[in-house]
Amino acid sequence: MKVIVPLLIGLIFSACNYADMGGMFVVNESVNERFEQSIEANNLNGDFGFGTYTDDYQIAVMGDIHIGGTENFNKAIEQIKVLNPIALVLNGDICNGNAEDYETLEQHLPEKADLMYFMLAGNHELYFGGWKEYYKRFGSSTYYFTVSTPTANDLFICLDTGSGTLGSKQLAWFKELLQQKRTDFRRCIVFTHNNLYRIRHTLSTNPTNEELLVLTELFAKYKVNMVVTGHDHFKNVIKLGNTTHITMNALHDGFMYAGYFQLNIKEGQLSYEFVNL
Amino acid sequence: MQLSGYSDIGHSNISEGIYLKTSANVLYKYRSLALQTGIQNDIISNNKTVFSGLNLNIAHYFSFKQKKYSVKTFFISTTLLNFVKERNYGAFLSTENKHFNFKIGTGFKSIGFTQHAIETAGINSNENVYEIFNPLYSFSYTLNKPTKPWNVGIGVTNMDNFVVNQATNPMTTVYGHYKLNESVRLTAEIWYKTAGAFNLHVNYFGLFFRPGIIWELK
Repeated sequence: MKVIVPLLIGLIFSACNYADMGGMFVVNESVNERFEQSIEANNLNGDFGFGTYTDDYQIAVMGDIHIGGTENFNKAIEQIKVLNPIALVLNGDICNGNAEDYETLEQHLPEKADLMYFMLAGNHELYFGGWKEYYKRFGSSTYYFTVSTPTANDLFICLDTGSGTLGSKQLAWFKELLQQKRTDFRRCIVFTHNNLYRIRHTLSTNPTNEELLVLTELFAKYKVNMVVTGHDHFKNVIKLGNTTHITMNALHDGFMYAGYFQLNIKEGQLSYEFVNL
Repeated sequence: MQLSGYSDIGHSNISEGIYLKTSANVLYKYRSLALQTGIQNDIISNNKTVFSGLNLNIAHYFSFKQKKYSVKTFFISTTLLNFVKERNYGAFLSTENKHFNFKIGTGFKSIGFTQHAIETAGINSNENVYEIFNPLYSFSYTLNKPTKPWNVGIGVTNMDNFVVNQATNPMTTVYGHYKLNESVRLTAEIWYKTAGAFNLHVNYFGLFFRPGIIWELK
């Protein structure tokens, strides 16, 4: 035991930089509470949809940026400005949960008029009571947006898996959304922070097995085309049924495989690209 | 030979209310070997598949340096909504003393779709996702020595009879049993499940109560 306990503590710390150990025992906001606040924000802001003049468009996705450091984030933002995507999705673990990290993030985000961005919380956003900061500055972490081209409409759903579970309320919302809206859209793409399947051994948590089976069923039944995740920090692609599950490389400073992800809709076809910095 | 049965009555983030599951198991011992099989039925559940699980275990008991051990191999098959199928198989080593029980091992998991799903949901690929060498563990402490007619204990594990979680989703259990007579034992367990523990932001996932009975046939 003398060896095992310090080893376990060391492993946990090594898995999560600037880890909030207290979060293992005391939860500031449960996932159900965060979901309710997200829905309140959605009700205030309304549904978000935008159109394109052409059938082809791109969406850039970045995750596990872990601000503090901003070097890679700034570099990636400069690169995607050339690409000119219609939107950027920041897919969780954008910062490390401290108020000063959120401050730094806000300073380095592009103007929404220049580049529309969407974000959702990962587990690190919740550290050190970080959800309050997130909510105050960015609002919802559970919502959807739509993209309308001259020929089709696509649905993009953002889910909060910062706690390793959707929770009962968010799961019910997600199920209802798919039931009511999925058939109105050509493609459905889900963004969430936690990677769902564990292809690689890590100490980070994936959803419980029972929840994983329910999500697998929902993705298949409602023909979700793609699920884009991060959390694991190493890119991976799994095809299960008709759903492609993407795990992105992390973008944080000092990571040798740092990069982001690019979704392409071209001539009605969905393709993707991992972009290394 | 041993017959056992139990019910799970509980709630979870995915259950959409209270659920009730039952399980019936048969265990046959021959010398140092034991063969056990069990089935799980969803009685009240949002899982429309009534027969939702099957397991099969083979154990070998042995002694080493005056300590008792067992090696157990297992296979678990579960189905959700007659849509998603999951298979778990693996092996673990167990040992116990008067108060502690340790199990450690490794498991393999595959998740895929049933033929029904492939036909009804237009799935054009029947490939599975595989997770290999998932660590398995169970550590428990019991208050009394095994010779006493009753006992209570507490444990933490990532595996149950029809569920194998990833190592980072531990389940906590408080359990007890009472020996009614030489043949019959009553059991009771409470299981508390969390999500996100190793993300350092733990959240409730589920809680259930498991009353059961074990009948030893001579």
